[in-house]
Formats: sequence, structure tokens, C-alpha cells
Amino acid sequence: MQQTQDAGKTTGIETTNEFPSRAEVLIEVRRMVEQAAAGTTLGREAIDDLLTAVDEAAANAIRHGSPKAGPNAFLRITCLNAPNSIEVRVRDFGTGFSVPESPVMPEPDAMGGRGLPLMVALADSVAIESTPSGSTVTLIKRSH
Amino acid sequence: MQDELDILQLHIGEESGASLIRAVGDIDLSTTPQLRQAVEEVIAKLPTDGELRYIIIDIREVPFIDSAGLALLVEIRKRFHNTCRLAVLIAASTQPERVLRLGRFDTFLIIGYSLEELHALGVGAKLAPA
Repeated sequence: MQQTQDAGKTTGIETTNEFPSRAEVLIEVRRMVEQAAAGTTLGREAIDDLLTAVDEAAANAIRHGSPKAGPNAFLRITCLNAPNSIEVRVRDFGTGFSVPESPVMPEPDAMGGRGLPLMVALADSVAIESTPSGSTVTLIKRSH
Repeated sequence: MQDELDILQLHIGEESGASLIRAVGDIDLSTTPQLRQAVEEVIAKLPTDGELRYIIIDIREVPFIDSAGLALLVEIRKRFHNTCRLAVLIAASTQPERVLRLGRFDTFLIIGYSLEELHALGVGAKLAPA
């Protein structure tokens, strides 16, 4: 765990962990983010919203991004928290994936396509960067 | 997986003529196969007398469900609709309630906050053959 300070930004605490790219790690990712968020003023509902968004990003990486990186694929999760907000980055090292999903929530009888709509609905900001060396989803949640 | 590491525990029973699966723990991409298997096993054991029955999935003790879990509910609803009607029990002010509302599942699934509420909606009463 390291403490970083950027000129012009609120002092933040940054934690980074790597997880093997398997569905079984999702609960560990959620625990890591929950622990980081406990150091902010985010309330229970905001934390739950954030956990859902992070889980969707990580699940996307496990399902679509990481398989291209081979059997030793891993995810890197970084939490950067400030007093009233937290930024979570979900990084995979596959060959990048296109995000064909619409950010609009599909109909309730749809079989899938809810990942991106949930991220957009539950995080205050969502940024997705996809390159041939992998993808990064950056989520920010603020206390309101 | 050792018992103490189980992310999700499922308790199967019956409630007033409806099959009941009570889930305790998280329903995510890693645990949906377990829930799917339990539902399939419950439905496979139902009498094949042509009567429509209910299956209640109780997620009041589920602190977290993700889109994989939501997709499973849709799958169950669609796959078994002619055999078994699906109802879901949720708790107020929880993450599952939040994502079910965001997905507008209340327009697609029978959702209630208590067994009494589901019974009042007719869940558990035997339906006429399709």
C-alpha cells in the first residue's frame, strides 16, 4: 500500500492488487474495493453501487479481455481514494476488446448486455480504454 | 471447494406447495452455475402431472448479485415457464433490490418482500393445467 500525493489533487491512498483472471476472484476484488471505500465518506448504498460497477468491469475483463492473454492472465485492480470519492481502475492485459454493448439498459427479458448499463447507472463516471495490450476501465464514485 | 470457503450456500425446501431455494451469499459469475444446477435439480424432481407449479428463489440473504445472476433469473424464467413459474423474494434497501429495479425486473418476474406477499399474489396456489 502506498500513499501518493499529486500537486493540485487531494492526497489519496492508492492500493493495487493483482488477481488471476478467474470468476472466483470477483468476491476478492469486491472485498478489496469495499475495504478501500471504507476510508471515504461514501455511504452503504454508494459503496454497493461501486461494488456492482467494479464487479461488472472485472467480469467483462475475465470473460472477454483476459482469455486472449493466455492461461496466466491476471487483472490489476487499483483503488485511489480521497476523502469524498474513490477511483477504481480495472486493468486486463488481453489484446483489447471492443465494447459492442449499448450503455442503455436492455429489456428485462434480455439474456445479457447489462454490464455496461449497470456501470453507467451506478458509477459517477466510467472511462474505457482499449488497446492491443489490454484494457482499462476507470470508475469514479463520489459521496453525495 | 471447502465448505468454509463457499461463497454461496443453497437451502432447498418447500413452502405451501411451491419449491423454495433459499440462497445465502453472493450470486456472481462464479456461483451462478451452482444456482442453475440447484434449480434444474428441483425442477427435474417435480411430478410430471401437467400441473403448473411455482419455484421461489429467496435472495433476502444475498448481499450481492451481478448481471450474471440477473441473466440466470431470465434464463430460468424463459426455460421453465411452461413447467414452473418463477418468483423471487428480495429484501428492501439491498443491492439485489437495486439492480433488479434498475433492470426493470419487476415487470418481468414475480417479486415480493415476504412469503405472505407472494401468497397474496397467488404464488403457491396450484394453477390450472396449461
